[in-house]
Amino acid sequence: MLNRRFVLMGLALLSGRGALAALPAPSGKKVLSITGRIGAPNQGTNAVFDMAMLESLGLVTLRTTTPWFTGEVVFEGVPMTTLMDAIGASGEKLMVFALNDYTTEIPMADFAKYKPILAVKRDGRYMPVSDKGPLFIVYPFDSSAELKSQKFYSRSAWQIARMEVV
Amino acid sequence: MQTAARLWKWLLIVAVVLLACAAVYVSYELYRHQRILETSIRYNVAWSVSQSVTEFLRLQQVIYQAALDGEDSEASLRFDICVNRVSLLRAGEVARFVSSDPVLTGVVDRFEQRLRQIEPLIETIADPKNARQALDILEPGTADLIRLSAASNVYSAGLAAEGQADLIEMHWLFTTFVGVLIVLGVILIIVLVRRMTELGSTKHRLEESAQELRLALVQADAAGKAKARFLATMSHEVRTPMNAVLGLAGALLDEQLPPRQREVVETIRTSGDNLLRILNDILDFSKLDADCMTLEDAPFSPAALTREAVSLLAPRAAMKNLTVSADADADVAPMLMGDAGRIRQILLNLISNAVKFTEIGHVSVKLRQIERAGGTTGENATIEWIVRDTGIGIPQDRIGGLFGEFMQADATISQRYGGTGLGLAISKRLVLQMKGAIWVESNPGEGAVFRVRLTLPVADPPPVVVADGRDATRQFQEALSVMGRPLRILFAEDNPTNQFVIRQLLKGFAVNLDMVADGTEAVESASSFLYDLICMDMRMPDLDGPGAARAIRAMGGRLAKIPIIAITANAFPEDVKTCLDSGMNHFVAKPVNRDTLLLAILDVLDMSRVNEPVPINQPIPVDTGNTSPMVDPDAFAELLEALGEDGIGEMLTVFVAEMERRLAFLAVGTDDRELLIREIHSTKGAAGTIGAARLCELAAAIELRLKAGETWRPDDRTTLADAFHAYIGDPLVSPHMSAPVS
Repeated sequence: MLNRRFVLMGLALLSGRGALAALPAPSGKKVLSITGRIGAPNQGTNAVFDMAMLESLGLVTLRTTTPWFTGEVVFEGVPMTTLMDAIGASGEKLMVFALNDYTTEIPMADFAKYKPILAVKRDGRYMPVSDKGPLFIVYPFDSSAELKSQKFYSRSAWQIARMEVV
Repeated sequence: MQTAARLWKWLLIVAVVLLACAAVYVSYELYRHQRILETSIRYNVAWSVSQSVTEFLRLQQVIYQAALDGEDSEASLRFDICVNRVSLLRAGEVARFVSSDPVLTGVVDRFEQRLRQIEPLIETIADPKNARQALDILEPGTADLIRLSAASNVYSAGLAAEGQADLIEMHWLFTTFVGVLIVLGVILIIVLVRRMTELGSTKHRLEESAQELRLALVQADAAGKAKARFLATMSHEVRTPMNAVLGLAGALLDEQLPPRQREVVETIRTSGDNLLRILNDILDFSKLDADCMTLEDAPFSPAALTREAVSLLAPRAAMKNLTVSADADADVAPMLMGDAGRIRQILLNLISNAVKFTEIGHVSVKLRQIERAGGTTGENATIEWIVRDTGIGIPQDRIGGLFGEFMQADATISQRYGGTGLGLAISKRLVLQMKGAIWVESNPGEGAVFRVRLTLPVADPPPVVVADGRDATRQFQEALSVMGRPLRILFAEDNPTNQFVIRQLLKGFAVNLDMVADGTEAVESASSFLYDLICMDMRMPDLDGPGAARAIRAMGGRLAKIPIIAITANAFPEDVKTCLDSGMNHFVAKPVNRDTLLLAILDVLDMSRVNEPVPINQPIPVDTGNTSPMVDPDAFAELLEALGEDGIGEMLTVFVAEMERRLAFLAVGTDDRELLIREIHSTKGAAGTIGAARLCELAAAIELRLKAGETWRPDDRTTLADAFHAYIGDPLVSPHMSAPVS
């Protein structure tokens, strides 16, 4: 409960900030590349992020159970709405591609409605590829019975490397 | 029908209860299912395992490529992804699947071991030797993982089957529920349809009954009205001739009669009185039976009423040497509202019974007050009359039926004491109609105690004069002597016999009585002469009493206030009201006896104060008529010339016949002033025509005198007869007479 309030507060504070600030160029190792209908590219027509850039958007905490871990897990990450605002996304949906070629499709409306995050840490640690890293879209599954379904489990992609706004 | 309806009702209740239970159960099942769905995370295990197989194969492919080309494109990434798969197989839903079978756990363990074995080789996998070594380690694991994949498929299928079974269970639950719902709905519809059909037919039956009742009511109402009309007619038709019989008997008794005849006439009167009483009883009873009895509501004094009732029967008791006492407690309300006449009737009945059945001893009447309390509509007093006698008493087994119709304590009683046996029945019904009680306590030989208890509204005590036992004849004569002249009465009565009776009743008093036969004449006469009062029959041809009274009142002036007394056989309270409404002042019920009539006249005279001297408008000619010749020669000559010898003879014959008839009539005498005046008027006219100057003059004088209110004197006839005989004996006339005068 407390966490959720914190999440909401973080969202309230950070929303709009990404849209105002121009995206800097990545200086570290690239972890995420977003293509498609975006308004603030920083490398050609793409928006490219290193881990520090993602973290600078502001991290929130999400505590939830999942089908893939036993018991509750604490994730830290960027709210998907913040990320979409930061890149000036103007599409209907987001195609997500994982390192293992897993592909999933998330309606943009999901982000405001269910408030999923792009997690960078699990239980306080960065996630390696061998442990669903480096990026992992996590829905707050415990907040609604609706989310505990195959539909949202399939949208929760891990080992994310690339996204496309369409 | 009743049982079936109850059955359906219960069926309906059971159905509704079942429905409610089913709904609750289904709701619970739905809730439970949702909880299960919420808590159990049905992750696709088969998909996860197949992903692991895929990644394992892709890792082998990358390493195989490295072994062939000596190039490392992405071995490190694929290795990490595979390691990730291992952790996935050890967590969440998949872990549950894996740990369900030790064989599967072994597969995952070996998968992890193989990855750990090749981990040092991944950095240098571009070296084909290392790559081949890694492949050697990995390859045997493929079959292992495929087995895991197959098992996961079975596991997922099992889960799906479980979910399916759940769904089927829910499906059946719902099907059952819907089935129950349909059955209940059908039952409900059947019940409703049945009820509506029943209601429809009931409504129809009720409507039919209502129609029948309405018809019956209309018929009963018509019958009731016919009965009431018949009663009214009976009342009139029976009382009118009885009135005549009793009145004439009374008049006869006023005459000097030989003892034997007096005895006969007295018997006639007594029998007539009894007959009238019986008729009244039957009439009362019929009226009570037909609910036609209307009770009056007027102030009266219960104490005075008691004394009056006792004093009325005191003479009868005195004849049997019985003492009668009346005693009213001082605290009894002085004035009450009620029908004094009917209460008197009850008391008279009880007292006369007491007198009738008591040979030695006394009869006492006591009036006491039981309670006096204020109510919402005013103060009420409960009073009780106790009529006690020392008579023969009543056997216990007869008391019950004593107040029944035509009931007497003993069949022999009627032979010994007479009576209709309706008295107590009437009394009881009257008391009941007054919402009171009447009862009796008695033992044979110990006398009887009758009690009447009534609760009546307390009236303001106005100074109401209760009729007392005053000597009507003496008072009337006193009043007349105070007046100093004859009382002028106009009497409207259509029945000749009744006219005669009235004349007889007023005979011997200083009364000038003018009799007319209908209302129109009454109105005319009232306007042409100065009368002191008018008596009027209710029912007359042409214009009835109330109609005539209204017409007289409408003429205004003196006639607006002239006392009018209604006289009728219609003794219904409604009739009294009609009379009073039409402007009449008093009411005398038939049969009229002298006292009643005189008291009524006294009452209205008091009321209008006509005993003050009334100026006489025109001088009454004393005795004229000796001035004219017996025959007017000129007139007779003219007549002779006009008619001729034959004509005059014929005319004289007619005149003689008429005069003889008239003189015979006058010899008998009449108190019908109008008739008398008409006769005298005719005499005057005929005499004038035929030239009998003296006769004409005499008749004119008498007519004038009569019209001025003077009385007919027996010598008037002699005067007229003498003049007539002198005329026909006159030398001028007698030669023309065709027949000798008898």
